Amino acid sequence: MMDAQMMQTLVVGLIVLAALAYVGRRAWRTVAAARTPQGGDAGGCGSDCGCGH
Amino acid sequence: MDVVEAAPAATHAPSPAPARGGGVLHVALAGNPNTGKSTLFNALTGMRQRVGNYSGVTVERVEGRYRDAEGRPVSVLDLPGTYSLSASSPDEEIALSVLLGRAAGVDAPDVVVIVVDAQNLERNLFLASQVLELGIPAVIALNQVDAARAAGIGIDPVELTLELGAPVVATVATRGEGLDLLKQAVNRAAALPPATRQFELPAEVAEALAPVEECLARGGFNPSAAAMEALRLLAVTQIGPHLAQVPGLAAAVETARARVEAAGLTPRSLEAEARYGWISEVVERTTERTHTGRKTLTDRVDAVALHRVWGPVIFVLLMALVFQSIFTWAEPLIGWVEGLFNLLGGSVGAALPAGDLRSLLVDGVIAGVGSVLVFLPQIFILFLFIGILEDSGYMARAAFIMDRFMRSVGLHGRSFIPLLSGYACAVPGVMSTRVIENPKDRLATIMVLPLMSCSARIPVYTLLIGAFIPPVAVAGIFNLQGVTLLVMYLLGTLTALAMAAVFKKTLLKGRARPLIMELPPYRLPSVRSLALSVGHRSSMFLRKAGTVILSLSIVLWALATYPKTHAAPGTPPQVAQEQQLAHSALGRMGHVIEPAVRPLGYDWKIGVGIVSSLAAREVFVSTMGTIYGVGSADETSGALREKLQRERDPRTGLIAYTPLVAVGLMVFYVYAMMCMSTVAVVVRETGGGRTGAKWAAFQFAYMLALAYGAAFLVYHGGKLLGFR
Repeated sequence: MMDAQMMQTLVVGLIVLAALAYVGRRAWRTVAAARTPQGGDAGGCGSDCGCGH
Repeated sequence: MDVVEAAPAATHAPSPAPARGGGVLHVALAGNPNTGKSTLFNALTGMRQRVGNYSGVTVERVEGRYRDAEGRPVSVLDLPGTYSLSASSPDEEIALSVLLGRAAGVDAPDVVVIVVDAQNLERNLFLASQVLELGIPAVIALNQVDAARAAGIGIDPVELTLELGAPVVATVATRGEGLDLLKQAVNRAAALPPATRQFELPAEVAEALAPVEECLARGGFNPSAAAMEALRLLAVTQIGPHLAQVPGLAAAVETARARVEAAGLTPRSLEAEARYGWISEVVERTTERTHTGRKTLTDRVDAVALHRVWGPVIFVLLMALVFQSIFTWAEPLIGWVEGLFNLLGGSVGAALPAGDLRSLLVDGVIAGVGSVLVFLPQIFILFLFIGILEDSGYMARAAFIMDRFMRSVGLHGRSFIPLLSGYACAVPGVMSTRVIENPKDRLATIMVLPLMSCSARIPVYTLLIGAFIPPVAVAGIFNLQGVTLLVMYLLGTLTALAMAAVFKKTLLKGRARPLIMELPPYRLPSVRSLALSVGHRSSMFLRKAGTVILSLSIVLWALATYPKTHAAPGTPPQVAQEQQLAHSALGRMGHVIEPAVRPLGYDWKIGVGIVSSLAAREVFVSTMGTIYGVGSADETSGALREKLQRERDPRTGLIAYTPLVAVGLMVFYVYAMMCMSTVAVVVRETGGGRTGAKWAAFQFAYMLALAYGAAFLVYHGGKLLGFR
């Protein structure tokens, strides 16, 4: 049976992986937005930029 | 003549407009800027709004809904404010495409509400006459009739209805007056005969335009819209994307222009002459002016607010007041939020057994995200003031005052609005430079825009000011903290202007052109409108804290926690925590970075904070929160500000962060382009591909050099002058 310490480590690992995936996805979208030609949908902006995206 | 509040729209009782699919009536709101169009939109739709962009362009698309008296849903689309449908800017192009039902992904409107400012009827009727000729059921909202009446202008809506051929409803959107009548008129508009052109063109012009109208009719335009488009096309240089699919149109327009010229007329000014000739007669017949000879309140205020000397002085004093309020008003609220997060950290810490999960939640998530969220009151107050300045009409005066300085450095007057947007966020600011026609002016504006202090810098500035700048009085009425924040904003703005002057004299040489702008009358800001804009901004800040900052706090916590080391027996807990942090992945990375930042007086922790803030500037604060959360043995050891004040250099045992280091760090953040989203948008907006990448790299490099050089000068210059 898995002890409490092991359980905590597992949960932490999953949370950190999810956070890494989110950060990676944001970074990828930023790079992809830079490649989009002018006039394309506006991505890449900060989520508080107020441009509507 | 007295102003009559109700027009025949209310007295006629045609059957309600037939709504299309889903029973939704689609209404578009068109009008000049500063007519109170957005206020009317807010009054009609309340909080039920959705903000987005039109497909393919960065023009903001705002939609909302309301239910009419019968309970049917009415969808309202707030079109960009434009002076005409000439389609010479993205805003005008979008407005025209939507009204013609040719905008991708937007429903063609069933009814268009044309918002007209009663104080500027003549100018507003130009756009109104163009829209009326499109053959769409239309209602005129004659707005701000109270202000017009106060200025001695009386307009008869009944007469105006007869002149325009469309129902006119008098409204005061700020007070919600006339809204019920307007909603009734919208409901019944489709049953009325569509308005048509109310003036005649010279015979030779009508003959010359006939083939163009036929061409447009073959392209699917109704006869009325075809006539409006044909006349409009005489004056423009490009026919516009929404007409690209009409075969033979360009050739037909060229032939028409030649025929008009052969008749001794000027194609470029023909539409303006014809419309304004008719409009002046309409205004003459429907308006009565009572000249009191007295100056209005706006005139009297502007005599001081726009004064050559007093204008800039008042502007700076107002800004100083805003920044001071950010500290004095927000301080108690910040204390509450800090207390809340301390309580939350303590509760979670007590509820969970010791281990990595507890450390992640308390030291990573709560310390990291909480350290940024405590600045929400300041963000709230800043945007409240910006909203008041915008809604009262002062922001347009600020643009006018700044234009003098803009032109002196060679920037186009149109650059001011993107630069102003930069105070909120550089990304929409860079995108809004598309309104600048000259490529060199546009590039110069993009190159300096990230120097304007955006809202993401506020948490960095306020953390450092709150921790290291004492709240002592300056000149009796201001305090040093507010003045310091004002200096940071001014430093960015003045440097942006100086750099623009450098670019305009070297890489991007060109002549400065003047700005023509309208100064709206001063008004009392609407509480509802302020609540909407401040609420929107605050929710965006919270969303960012809950996504990017939360994720990065978790990643940084992991980097600051692993790999684990085991302290020698008997090591005090605080020393053990410090050793763990120094040997973690983050600590090791920090020590690699440290030699680069040590000349600026920073240690490895600040170095890591700077590098992680490339994702977003606020991440600097959350990184420090996480580092000090992990590095502290005490779970409830107070706010981040206090931890920074107490930090000691392990090599010397002296205080690590002094006011001089803090000022140098703020100056670094004034200049450094620590925002990957801005880099990405600059790549795209400067041509994309290699060209865009080169401009973005150049911008990043010059701003980093500026940041490093200025922070170095502040630190070492300050030490030489005896500061610490």
